[in-house]
Parts: sequence; structure tokens; C-alpha cells
Amino acid sequence: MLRTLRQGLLAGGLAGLFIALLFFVDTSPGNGFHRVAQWLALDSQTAGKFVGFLLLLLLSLVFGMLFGVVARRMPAALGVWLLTGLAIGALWWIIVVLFLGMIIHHVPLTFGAFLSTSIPLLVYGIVLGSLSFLWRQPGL
Amino acid sequence: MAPPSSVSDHETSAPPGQGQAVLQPVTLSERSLMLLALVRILVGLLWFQQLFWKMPPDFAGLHRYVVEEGQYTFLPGYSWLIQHLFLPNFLLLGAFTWSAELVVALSLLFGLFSRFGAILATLLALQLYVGLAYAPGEWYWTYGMLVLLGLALAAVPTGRRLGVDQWLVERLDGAQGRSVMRLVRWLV
Repeated sequence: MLRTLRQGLLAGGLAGLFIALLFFVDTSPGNGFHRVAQWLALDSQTAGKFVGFLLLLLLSLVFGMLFGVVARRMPAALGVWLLTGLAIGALWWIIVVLFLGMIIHHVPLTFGAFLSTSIPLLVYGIVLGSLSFLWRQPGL
Repeated sequence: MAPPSSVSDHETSAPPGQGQAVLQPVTLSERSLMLLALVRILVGLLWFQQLFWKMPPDFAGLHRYVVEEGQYTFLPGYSWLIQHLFLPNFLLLGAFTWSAELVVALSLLFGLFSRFGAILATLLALQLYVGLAYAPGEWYWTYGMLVLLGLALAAVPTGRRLGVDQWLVERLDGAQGRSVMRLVRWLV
């Protein structure tokens, strides 16, 4: 149990760093982290970027751990792992971005906002599933 | 670390002939594959971000650039095409351009038919090069590099790490017989 949690945590953290890169590269460096901080109404002009970065990492670890728990019972099939990773990314979007951000904290839901938040989180899911499956391979 | 992984489409393993120099087959390490996958995802991000300044339904941000293409293209006849075909049907052009760029972005971000995405990216970048490379304020290499990035990602199956292609290629391996399927497999 602890081992799968640890693996999920590690894969989630690494996938999170990966996705942080996607939020960092913007019209000004790290601008995308403001959007992340808005999900939990933690954005500010001064510390918003830093808070958003930390929040992104924290959530990556939490959802990575969740993946680790689910993965314990999954068959060793690449398709299942990738699909589960995508489902975890979608779950992150539904719980944090849609429910907490848009419904509770009234972040406006436009088509652009939908695209700019859902796609990176689905990429997180696919990276999470890929890395976790890769680490199961013998010799890696 | 990791053992070397091969993703080459055609393993060259012919025995050396008499007096004939034989090139060593190139095998990419797992680290190189991961690095290429990272590059693929970031190039996907590049295309993805360009969707937001020309959003539907009016694709307004795009209009200025199409007009510029009509003025500064170096290809004879292309200016006429823009003035008389593209600009009068701007909404159709905008919808096509936006959709094509979305397909490129999704393909490269998710590693889904990544070589198809890279080829489409090359074509779109080539069009930008023809139209905008010599417009005032533009650095001609910007669009040249965009073409080269697309070509580089078309040359290597980068979607086979951190992408859906690693799963697709297994499925398509079983259907290698027909030429259409061979082509489809090459695109992943």
C-alpha cells in the first residue's frame, strides 16, 4: 500500500512539475499560475504566481496519490493506465476548476477558460499514466 | 539508468558486404525519447497558446495577419489569392485555420498521431513563412524555425513516450499488411 502511494506521489509530483512548465510559459513568465491561484480564490498581484505554483504542485501530489491508490487494482495494460491517468486529470478539472473555482469562487467559465484549464490537466493525466506505467517496466 | 529503447521504423541490420562501409543503426535511449516527448509537448503548447488571440466565432485577431500576408508575401499570385478568395470568405478561413491549429495542438500535446500533427504543423508554418516572413517587424527565421520544428517532430515518433501513440502503435502493429494501415502506423 505504502509503496503504491509513494509511486503515485512521485509520478504525480513529476507530472506536476511538467505541467507547471505549461503554466509558466505564457505572455509574461509564470502568468498562468495566477489562473491556478484563482481556483481557490488565493490570487493576488504580489504573491499570486508563487501561490499558484505551490498549489499546482500540491494538487499534483494529491491526485498522483489518488492515481497510486486506484492503480493498485489495475491490470498491467498500458491502455488502462493511460485512460485512468486521463480520468484523474478530468477529475481534477471537475472538482477543483469547475466546482471549487467556477461554481464556489465564481471564476468566469468561458470557452477560452475551459480550453486553457482542461487541456493542461488532461496532459497531466496522460503524463501521470505514462510515467507510472513506464516505471513498472523491468530494468527501468 | 534505462536500457536503450528503439523506436525506429526501419531497423537497418543488413550484414556488412565485402569492402562496403555500413552505417550503424541509430537507437535512441530512454532519456532521449523522454526529452523528445518534452519538446513535442512544449511545441504543442506553442500552437495551443496561439488559439487564444483568434478565438471563434469571429477570429478577429487573425484578420490583421491575413491582410499583411496579402501585402508582403514573396510568392507571386499568393497576394491575389488572399485578396480575392481568402479575405472575402474570412470566417471560413478563420474556422479552418483555428480548427487546424487546434488539431496540431491536441495531437502534439497528447502524442496522438503525433507525426500527423507535426506534418500539419509544418504545412501551417510553411504558409506563415510564405505570407509573413518578410513583413515589416518580422524576423524571417521565426517562421523558418517553426517549419523546421515541425519537420523535426515529423521525423521522429515522439508520441511513443508520454503520449497516446505508445498505446496506438501496439494496436496498429497487428494490422501492418495493408498499405493504408502502414501509412496510418507511420503517423503514430
